[in-house]
Amino acid sequence: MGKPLAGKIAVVTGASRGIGRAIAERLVADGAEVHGTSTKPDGKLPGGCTHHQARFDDPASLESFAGAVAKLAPHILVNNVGVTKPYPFEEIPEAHFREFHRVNLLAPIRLCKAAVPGMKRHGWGRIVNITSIWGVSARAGRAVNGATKEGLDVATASVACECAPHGILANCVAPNMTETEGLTSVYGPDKLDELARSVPMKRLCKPEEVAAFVAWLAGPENTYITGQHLMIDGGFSRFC
Amino acid sequence: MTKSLSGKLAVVTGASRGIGRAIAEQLLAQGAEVVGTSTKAGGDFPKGCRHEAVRLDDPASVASFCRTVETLAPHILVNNAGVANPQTFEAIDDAEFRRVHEINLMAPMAICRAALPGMKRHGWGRIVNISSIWGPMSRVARSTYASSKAALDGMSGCLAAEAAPHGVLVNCVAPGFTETEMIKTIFPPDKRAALAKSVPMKRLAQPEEIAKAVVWLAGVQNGYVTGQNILVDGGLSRVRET
Repeated sequence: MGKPLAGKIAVVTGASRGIGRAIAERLVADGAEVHGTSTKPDGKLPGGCTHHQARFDDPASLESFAGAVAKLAPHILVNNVGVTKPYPFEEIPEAHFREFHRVNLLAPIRLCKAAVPGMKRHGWGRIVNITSIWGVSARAGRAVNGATKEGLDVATASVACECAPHGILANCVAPNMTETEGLTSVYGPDKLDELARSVPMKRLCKPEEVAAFVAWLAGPENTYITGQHLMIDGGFSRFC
Repeated sequence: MTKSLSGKLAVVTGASRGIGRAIAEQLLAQGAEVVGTSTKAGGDFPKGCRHEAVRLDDPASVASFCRTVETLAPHILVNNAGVANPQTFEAIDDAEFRRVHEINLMAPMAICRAALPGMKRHGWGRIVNISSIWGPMSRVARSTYASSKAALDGMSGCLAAEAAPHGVLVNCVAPGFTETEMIKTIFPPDKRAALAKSVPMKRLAQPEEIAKAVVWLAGVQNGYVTGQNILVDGGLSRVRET
């Protein structure tokens, strides 16, 4: 296989597990120099990735990592980190409300702001922000999560409009329920089966499938898709 | 290097020029065997492309081609051929409205229906229907075209739900303003320059750029994107300048 991303520097947040890990692996395989984050000082990232510790619920840590991103001047930025926890609307704790906004919305926007000047200098950039089907579809208990993801989409589209003349494309990718440790540790086999049956494809998404899509959007083959919110959901969002 | 679409058979309607030609070229480059259509026999096709003459406004010609598609049993189907003929709402000519819907909606439906059994037998299929930004977006004098393209997207979404358990993924790709003969017949050069300025990317798309998105969706790397209408529009659909 060719190395379409040879010579490109990529930053992927939350690269130690789940979708972010698959994205980092895929970008490494495609030839990019990949910098990944995890919250732990000894985060286990895929082979070939440079590790950065960052906590996006902590403004000082975010600011410090944003400085590192500005120095790295990546060609590709994938804001993958997100937190989710369903709450009945009237019971949403204020602390979670703030944490969700910091991690899901403010941190990705801050990192885009740190990365854009370098992308402008390169005359080439790709931003892919990972949202969620709950940024497009609604379900009980998803008010705050949905609001942060939809907010990220609109912010990304605005960045797309502003940065397009500089060769920078910015999109969101919204995965459906994906077979990650995060999901399989929360739900038992029966619930996972039920979730899979609710999708037209009758199975959950695989992290590698999201990674293949993200890598394509972030690569040189994509030259005109920008400002979009792209679902990778096995048909889930259009099916009822 | 093994080509990613070796052993796959693809059907592309309207493959002699514009976006369809670029799609056929890229599918061939990825190793697929490609059967393209054009309205005229012996049209100018990319090298290595097999071809069939089909008139998509003629139900008998479409029915005959559908029998060919059933026999071919393609793994990949790209319904690309389409017509646009802007007419203001009160000036809509019924016969022209029917002709546009015949070509942009009825023919793709019939060809999808003919291709689906083979894809189910393969346990693998990819359908990409070329829709338009004039569906999600509106503009004066586009009601005939937009209604046909929006319907194509609606049809594709339902087909995606039915076909998904069989490993068949169905999507639409909605090109923005693209440098094709179609746009040249609708807009004079100065108007095309103004269109380019209205796009965040400040330029029109080249047919090859639309084709790359189509070929990714139609390929083996796409494992879970289905039922979508993907806008390849340089950001046009998201921006509103005053």
